[in-house]
Amino acid sequence: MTTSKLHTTTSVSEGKRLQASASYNNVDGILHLVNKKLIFTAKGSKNPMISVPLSDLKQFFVSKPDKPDPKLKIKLFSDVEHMFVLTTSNAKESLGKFKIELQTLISKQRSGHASNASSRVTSAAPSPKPRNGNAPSPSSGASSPALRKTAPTAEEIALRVELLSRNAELAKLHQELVVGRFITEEDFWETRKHLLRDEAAKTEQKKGRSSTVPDLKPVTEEGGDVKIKITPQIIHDIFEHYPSVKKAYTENVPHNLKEEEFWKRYFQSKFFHRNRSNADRMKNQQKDDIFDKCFAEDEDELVHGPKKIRLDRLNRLIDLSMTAEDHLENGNEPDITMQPGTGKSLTLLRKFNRHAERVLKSSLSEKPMKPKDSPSDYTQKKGYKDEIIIEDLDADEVQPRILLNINDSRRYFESQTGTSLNDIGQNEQFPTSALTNMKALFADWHPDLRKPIRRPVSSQVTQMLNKSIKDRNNLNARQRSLEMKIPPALEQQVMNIHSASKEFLRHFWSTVNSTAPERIEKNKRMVEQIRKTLERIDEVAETAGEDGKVVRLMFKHMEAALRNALVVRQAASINGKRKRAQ
Amino acid sequence: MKDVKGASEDDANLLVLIIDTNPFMWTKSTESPSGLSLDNALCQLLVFINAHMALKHDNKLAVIASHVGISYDSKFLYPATNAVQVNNNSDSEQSKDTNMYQTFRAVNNQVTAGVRALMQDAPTLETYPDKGSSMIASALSMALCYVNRVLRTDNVGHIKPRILIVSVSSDSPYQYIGIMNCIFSAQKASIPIDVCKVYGEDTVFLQQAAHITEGVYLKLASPQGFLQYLMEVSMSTGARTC
Repeated sequence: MTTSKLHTTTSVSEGKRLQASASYNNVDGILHLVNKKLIFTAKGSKNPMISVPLSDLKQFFVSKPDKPDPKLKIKLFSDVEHMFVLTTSNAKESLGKFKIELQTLISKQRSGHASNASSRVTSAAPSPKPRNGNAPSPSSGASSPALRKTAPTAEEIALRVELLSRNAELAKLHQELVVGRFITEEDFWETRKHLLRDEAAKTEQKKGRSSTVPDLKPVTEEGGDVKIKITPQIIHDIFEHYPSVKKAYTENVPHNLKEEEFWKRYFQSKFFHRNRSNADRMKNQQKDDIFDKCFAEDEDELVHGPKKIRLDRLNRLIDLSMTAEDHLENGNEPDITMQPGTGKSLTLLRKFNRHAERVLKSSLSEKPMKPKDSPSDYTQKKGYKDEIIIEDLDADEVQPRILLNINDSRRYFESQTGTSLNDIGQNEQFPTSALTNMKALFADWHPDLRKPIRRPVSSQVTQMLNKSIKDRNNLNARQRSLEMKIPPALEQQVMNIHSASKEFLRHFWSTVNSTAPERIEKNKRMVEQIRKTLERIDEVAETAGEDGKVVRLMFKHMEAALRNALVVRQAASINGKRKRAQ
Repeated sequence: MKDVKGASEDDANLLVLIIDTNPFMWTKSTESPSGLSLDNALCQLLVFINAHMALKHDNKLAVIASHVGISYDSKFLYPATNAVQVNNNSDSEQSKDTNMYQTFRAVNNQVTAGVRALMQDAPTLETYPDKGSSMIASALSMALCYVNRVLRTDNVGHIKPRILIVSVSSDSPYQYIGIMNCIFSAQKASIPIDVCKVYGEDTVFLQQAAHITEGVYLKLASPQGFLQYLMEVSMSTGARTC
C-alpha cells in the first residue's frame, strides 16, 4: 500500500480540489476530485480509469466512521455504481473531506443548472460526455430588471429621445418593437446601455470658444459704398480683444459720441486697418484723436511687451530665466531677434500670443490660478514635489498575483473544452505491435520512386479535383448572379422583421436560464413573440408571390435560429415538469 | 483561380513540408480500406519534393517530422543535422543510383534516414497518453523559425515561403494555444499554410490554419492518389485552385 498524501489546494490550477490514494475493484490508484469530475486513475497510468462528471452523480454514500475501511460509493443517474476504498494513511480524515467537498459541489451544481442537471443520463464510460449546454448561459446579471425597478429619470429619458432622434435605424426599431408593444421600453434599453453611455458622454462635452480673431471684412456695395455689419457679438469680441477700444468706448460713448459715430470712426481708423496689407490706405488716414491714442497704447504694449509681469508669482518650474545653468553655451538671454523694431513680425507674434492666451483662459475661466499662497510656500510644500515626479521613473509596484500552476496542462484543457477531442485517439487501444512493425518496416527501407499511381485511382482523383474546381467556379458565378432584387417595400419589411427577430432572440437568450420570476415571465413573452415572428415570416413570404422564394432564402438562417430557441424552450419546460414530478 | 499577390514567375519558392509521422495513426491508415501506408506516402512525397526542387533551380525546401511524444517532438529531416548526414554518407546501397541528380539524392537520402531514425528509437511511446495526436504546434514553430531565417538571409528578397502540412492525426486540445499562435504569426508574415489530410477526421485546428492564412485545406477522398493531389493542388503557389 502506498503512502500518499492528501492535500487540498485552493489554487485555480486545473480546478483540482482533492486527491487521495484509493483502490477500485482491487486496483490501486489515486482518486481525484476535480472541479467538475471525480476521476480515478490506476497507479502508473496516466489515463483515468473512471471519470465521472459531477453532474452525472445522483447520490453518494460514505461508510460510517467507526467501520474499518473507509469507503466511498457513488451512484449515477444511469444507476451505475462505483465503490472506492480509501487507502491513505489518514483515510478517515480524507473521506470526511471528500464528503464535505462533494456535498458542496453537488449542491452548487444542482442549484446552478437546475434544469440541465436533471436531464442527464450518462454511462459510466470514462470518456467525458459533452456538456449538455446547448443553451449559452445568460451573460447578464449586473443589469437584472429585478434590481432596477426604479423608473427612469428625466435625464435618462431625454438622453433616449436624443439618441433616437439621431439614430434613424434605432428609432425605427424602437418604433417597431416598443411602440408596437412587443417589448417594454426598459427591456429595449437594457441591452443598449453602451449606446446611452456614449450619448451621455457626447452631450456632456461643451463647445469651447471659437479661436478666430475678430476680423470684419468690408463688403463693397453697388455705387462704391463700403458697408460693414456689426452685431453685439462682434462688438463683444472686439472689446475683449482690444481692451483699449473698450476703454475708448466707455470714455466717449454716449456723452462725446453717438454709438454709431464711434463705430464709424473705428472702422476708418488706423487702428482698424493696421493688420490689413493695404498700406496706401493707411497713408490716407485722417487724424483721429480717439483711435490714434488706442493705436499708440496698443502698439506700445505690443512692442515693449506687457508692462507688469509679477515675477514673484511665477511657477519656478516654468520660469525660463531660472534655467540658465541648463544652457551654459548660450545661456537663456532674451532672443535678440525679438528686439522691437525688427519689423512687423514681433508685434504680430505678440498679438497672436495674446490672442491664444485669451482663448485658453476662457476655457479654464472658473479655475483660479494655482497657488494662492506665497511662492516660497509653494516651493516648500509638496506643490513642486508633486510636479517633479515622473511616473515612468518610479519603481514598479509588485502586484500581488497568484501563479497559475498547472501540473498537467493536458487535463486542464480537457476540462476547458468539456468534450475532449483527444479522446478519439487517447482511449483507443493502439497495438504496441504498431511500433515494432513500423520499426521493422523502416529498418531497412529504401524508397522506390518508380511506383505509378494506377488507373482507377488516378482518374478518380482527376475527376474529383475537376469537380471541386467546377463547383467553386459555379458558386462564385451563382453568387454574382443572385444579387437579390426585391421591391423596396418588401425589402423594408424583411429588414424590419430581421432586426426585430434579432432583438427577440437576444432577450430570449438572456433570460432563458434564469430563475427570477420576472425573467421567466419575460422569457415567456419572448417565446410568444418568436412564434409570432415565425408566422409573420410565412405571411410575408406568401404574400410576396414571385419573390417569396428569395424572402425564404433570406430568412433561412434566422428561421433556424428562431426555431432553435423554441426547441430549447420546449426541452427546458419538459425538464422542469419532470423535475417537479420527481 | 487567383494569383497570389505580387508573385512573379521568377520568384523562388521555399516549401516547408511538415509530415505527421505518428506511427499509430499511420498504422491505422494502412489498415483502413484504400488507406495509404507511411512508406508509400513517403515515396509519393519524395517524388513531389523532387518535382518541387526541379521546378526552379533556386527553390528551397525544408522537411520537418511532427512526431508523437514529448521526447521526440518535432525534428528536421531536411536540411538535416550532422549526425544523420554521417549515416547517410556511409550508405553504400545508394551506389546504384549514380545517375541521379545530386540534389534529389541528398534530399531523398536525408529524409529516408531521418524517418528511419525516428522509427528506430520509440519504445517509450507505449506509455505516452496522446497517441492520437502529433506535435503540430512545435513543428509549426520550427517551420516559422526556419522560414524567418531563410527570409533574412535571402538577399534578393524574392523568396516565397509556404508551409504544407501532411496530417493523419487528430487535434490535441492542449496544443491549441501554441497552434493558434503559430497560425497568427503565419498570417502576419503572409505565409500560407496548406493542409493535406491523408487519413482520419477533419482537424478543426488545421482547417483554421488553412482558412486564416489563406491556404488550402484538402481532405483526400482517395489517399492512394496522394501524389496526384499534391501535384495538382500544391505544386505551385502561383495558381491556387481549390
